Formats: sequence, C-alpha cells, structure tokens
Amino acid sequence: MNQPMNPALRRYVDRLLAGTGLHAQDAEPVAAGQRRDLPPSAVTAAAALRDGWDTAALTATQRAQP
Amino acid sequence: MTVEWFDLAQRLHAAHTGHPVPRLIHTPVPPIPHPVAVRARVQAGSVLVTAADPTMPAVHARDNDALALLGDLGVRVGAEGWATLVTDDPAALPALVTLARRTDPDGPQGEVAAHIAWWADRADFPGTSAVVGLVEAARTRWTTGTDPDSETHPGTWRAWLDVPDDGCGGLLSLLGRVTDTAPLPLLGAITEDDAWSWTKAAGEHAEGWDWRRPDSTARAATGLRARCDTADLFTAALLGDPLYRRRAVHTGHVVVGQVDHPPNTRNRITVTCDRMDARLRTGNTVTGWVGAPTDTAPEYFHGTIAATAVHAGRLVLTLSGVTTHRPEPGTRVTLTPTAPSPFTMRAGRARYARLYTARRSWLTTGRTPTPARRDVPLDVLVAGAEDT
Repeated sequence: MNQPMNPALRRYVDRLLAGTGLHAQDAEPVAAGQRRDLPPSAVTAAAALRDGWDTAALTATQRAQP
Repeated sequence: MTVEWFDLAQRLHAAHTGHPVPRLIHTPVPPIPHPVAVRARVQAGSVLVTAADPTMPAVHARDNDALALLGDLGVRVGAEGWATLVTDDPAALPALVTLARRTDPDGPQGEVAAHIAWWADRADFPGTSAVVGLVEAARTRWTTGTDPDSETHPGTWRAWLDVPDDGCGGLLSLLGRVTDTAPLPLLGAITEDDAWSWTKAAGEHAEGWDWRRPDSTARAATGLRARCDTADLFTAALLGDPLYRRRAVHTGHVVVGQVDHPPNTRNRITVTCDRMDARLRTGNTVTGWVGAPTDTAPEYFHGTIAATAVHAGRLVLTLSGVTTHRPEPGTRVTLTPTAPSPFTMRAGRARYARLYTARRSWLTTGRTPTPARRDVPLDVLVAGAEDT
C-alpha cells in the first residue's frame, strides 16, 4: 500500500515541521534519505526523521524474514 | 528533544507500507490467563453490559442481570484467580463501577461488585494484569500511518491490525494481536503485585470490609506510593526494550557517548554525550554498556552521575562508582537510568505502611519528619486528577 497522505496526517505533518523549512510533501523523501539538499533549519529534524524511518525499515525487514 | 520527528517518520513509514510500525519488540501487556471482554455504558439510568470470554460468545445484559452475567464469567472476588477486564472503551470501567455501587454489599452480587472495585483500583497501575485498555496497549506497541488523534479510536486499530469484528469477540482478537510476543521482562513484578493485591481484596471482602468506604489516610498514602512505584517500574520495563531505547535517545532518557578516564581515578569515567538533551542528572544511578542502545550487552557497568558539565559545546557526564567492567577510553557506550528493584520497592512500601500503624512513628505522633522528596510520575498525577 502506497497511498497519498490522508488530510489529517498531512495537517499533522505540516504542524510538526513548522519552523524547519520543510513541508508535508518533503517529509517522506527526507526521512527515507532521498533528499539531502536541506536548509540549515531542517538539519536536526532531518536526522531524527531518518532515524525514525531507518528504525521502522529495520523492523519491517525483520518482520519479512521467515 | 527530537522524538516528535522520530515518531513522525515512523508514521510515514507505516502509511507508506500499510503496516503498523512496532515501537517495542516485546508486548507491554503481561500474560492474561482469564480475559473477559466487556463493553458497558450508562443509558437512561440503566447500565448496559456486553461481555464475552474465550469460551462464551458475547451476551448482552443490563443492571443486576449484567452483574450476574459477569459473575458467570468468573468475575467474583471469591473466585480462585482474578479475571482481566479487556476493553477498548475508557467509559466501560466507570459504567461498571456505577453498577457495582448500586449493589447491596451483603447481597448475592457483592462478590462481583468487589471484583469490579478491584479492577477500578488496579486500573491506575500501568502494566497491570487486572485491566487491559486495548487502545492504550496498542499505541504503546505500534505506530500507525495516521495522525495521533485517529489512534485514540478503536476502529483505527481494528483496521490496522486486521480485526474486522467490532464486537466483544473482536476485543479478544485484538488482545491476541497485542500479546502475540514475549512481555516486557519487568512486568512479572507488577503481576506479582496484582496477585498480592487480589489476595488482600479477597480477604477484606471475606471479612466484611466495604470497598465503598473512603480510604483512610494510611491506605490512601500507601496506595499513592504503590502507584508511583509501579509507574517507575513500568518506565524501567519500557527502557528494557531495545526498540524503545532507540526512540528514548530522542527524549534524552537514553544517552550515547564516548568514554574517557579522568586522571588519577580508578572508578570514575567521563562520557562525552552525542547530544545535549540528556535527562540524566547528578545523583542518578545509571547502567551502561559498550555499544548501541539496541544492543544486548554481554556485560554492564553501573555508576552514579557525580557531575555534569559542558565542555566545548558538548555535554560531559562524570560517573563515579564504576568498579566493574569499566569501559576503555575511546569506546562508545550507552547509558540508561538503572531500573529500580521490585524487592527494594516492596520493602520500602512495607516500612512506609508500618510507620502508619506504629504508635511512636513520626507519622502517628505528628512529629516533623526528615524531608524526603520525589517526583510523582505524570501518569499518577493525571489519574489522581481524573478521580476528583
């Protein structure tokens, strides 16, 4: 399942990223490490996003293993 | 703190894959041998109850019939063991307490009412095996690809955990999903406290003690202390989970850094932290190991935070009392608060209870005691505010 972000989640993401220079559409590419051209105001948020994403990806990999 | 962004990425990952993301490797719910799934609500003065257990499909009843139904499901304080209330609705237990308060203490449903009262008492203890709030348990174990408000609705969890049945049978299925892995290790100590409390409640009921009476000062004080101890124990239990520790780096409860040895010391080390937002304070006892927060270490070192300072923009913690497994300079270590000992906690509570009964203690004589302060966990404060 790879669906567009639902409106409530989009509003939540925008609220959490306020002040970082990032917006909802930026969050997933930054978290997944696909976007690295970040404004200085986003560096701390980006590091935390990447750690959260990587942790989730790690558990997903473990779940997929038989 | 950066935990909101860490959690946000997990939400985005869940939305991307369509699978909830685990926040824990373990389950935050202890083993539940006798679950009773219940929904209850007050309607026009009546209390309507729907209940089921693994051997009996859902049955609806109201008022006294509802109490009889619960009694048939083993919800009796005179039974051999306790039943666990399993629900997805925070209004269910207050509705049951309303029903229990209407009973005659000496009547045929007195045993059922006393069991409900025990549920209400133990519901304040995180990690208890007396009451399982499925929504809270699921939120502790997973993150979904929705906003946090949506996660307060049981329907969100049924959808994400693939439990289509929205009746009491579905509650038992949800319980099965939430508990399909090993429990957090320290939960066993909380279950032991449940057992002690259950035996006490059964004994008091047999002796004719009425749970409707307001608590004495001693009972209220020891109850508050027990709640605080359990909240501390549950926090420590969560920190025992590798995934939770990785997240706790972003709250400052787990610290990662590099070791150095101060000159002319044999049992001190310094740890230069990766981050400035550590929550460890001077006087805290800590447990550490060489490696990352998610590692299960072969050996641990222990110490006390003797000093904190900032050097060249980096937070430096000085640990004293590091007598065994002292890490070498340059190694990277993880520090967590040392978990409290359930045995020490119980002994402390027993001493505290004795102070309330001993005729010459400072509590019963009114002498000014030696001040000893502690933080009351936020969960306990919130539960207390909700009770008033």
